Amino acid sequence: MANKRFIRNRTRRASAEPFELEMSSLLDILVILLVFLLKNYSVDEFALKINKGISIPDSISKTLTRKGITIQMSKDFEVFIEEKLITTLENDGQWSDEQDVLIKNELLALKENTEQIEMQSDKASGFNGIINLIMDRELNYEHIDKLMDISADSGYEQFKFIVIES
Amino acid sequence: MYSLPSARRKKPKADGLNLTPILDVVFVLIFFLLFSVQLLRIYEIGSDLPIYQEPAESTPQQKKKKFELKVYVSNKSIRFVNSLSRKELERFETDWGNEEFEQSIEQKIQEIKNEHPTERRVVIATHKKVTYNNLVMILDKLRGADRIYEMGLAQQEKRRQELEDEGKRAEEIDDILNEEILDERRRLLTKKYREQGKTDEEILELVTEVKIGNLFNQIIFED
Repeated sequence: MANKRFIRNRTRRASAEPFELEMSSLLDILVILLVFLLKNYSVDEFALKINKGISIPDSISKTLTRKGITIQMSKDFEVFIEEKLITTLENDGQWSDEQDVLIKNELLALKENTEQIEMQSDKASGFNGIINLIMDRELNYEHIDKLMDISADSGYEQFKFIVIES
Repeated sequence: MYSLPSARRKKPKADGLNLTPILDVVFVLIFFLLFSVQLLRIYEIGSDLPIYQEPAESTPQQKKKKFELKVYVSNKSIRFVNSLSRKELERFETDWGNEEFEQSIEQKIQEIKNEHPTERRVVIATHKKVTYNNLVMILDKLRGADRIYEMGLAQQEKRRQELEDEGKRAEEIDDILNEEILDERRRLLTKKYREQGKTDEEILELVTEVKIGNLFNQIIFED
């Protein structure tokens, strides 16, 4: 009897329907997500990465950004060049000569690097002297002025203030 | 043992649409797009001129100029000055965040631009305690919103040269050029408003105010 039951159950197991996953609703969601992402997709190779802790001001400007060296300064007075932390101002944002030198050296090194690449390859874009300033909105103008001064001393003459769409 | 075909035998079940390959493609595509999506639209405010410049009287062309706008920005006041004649055009008591204050600044800038439509350069002298956010607001007002391109710089220079060749004096040339640019601007605005479906009366009112953008977009910071 047990043997017969075993044979009966085995047959049932063999003929059991495989479990089917209902994927149409999942596919609906994915298609909508895809449409949304395609709309926001940008083919521009140049993308700015804004460091954490920096809230940039909004503006009515619609001029797209161009490739250049990025200098970022947070509200805690941390100065980044090309996303690398160079120095932090102390005493509530007081500038010192050493910090000037650090920033200037970094900018000169980047400039030299670009010029060397330009010499080695005809297809290199070359030094354009553009600085993209990504500054926290609460910073005082004195810090912007200082950074522009140091950059101008290092041979960067064009400044672009990075903003977000208002 | 052979058995006859029976109607009771189950018919083969029709295969449904296999969604697995489509899902694979969509998943891969979504991951790719998620990594490259830019949700914040980032723009720039800049000028094609070097940010610090020599004084206005340095070149022969600039020596002919009678007007150069200079804006003094501080937390106490915003002053509009003709830096060549050193005459103060207007002074506002600063009230950051107040809409009326911002509108009055915008109105003054447009008035100045209407009087000097060929002038695109502005020198900004900012006090060190002005915040970056407020400075950007001032820059926005100076640059303007709509990008309506009236006579471009190259065309202006060419026209100026033509008038000089005709023997006109510098003041006459400025007046003629100003009128031509204003006319061109009104023409472009009229066309734009017609496309937007505005009536003739509305267009006349708007164009008379010449409320437009592309104002002072050559910004120089005073060192």
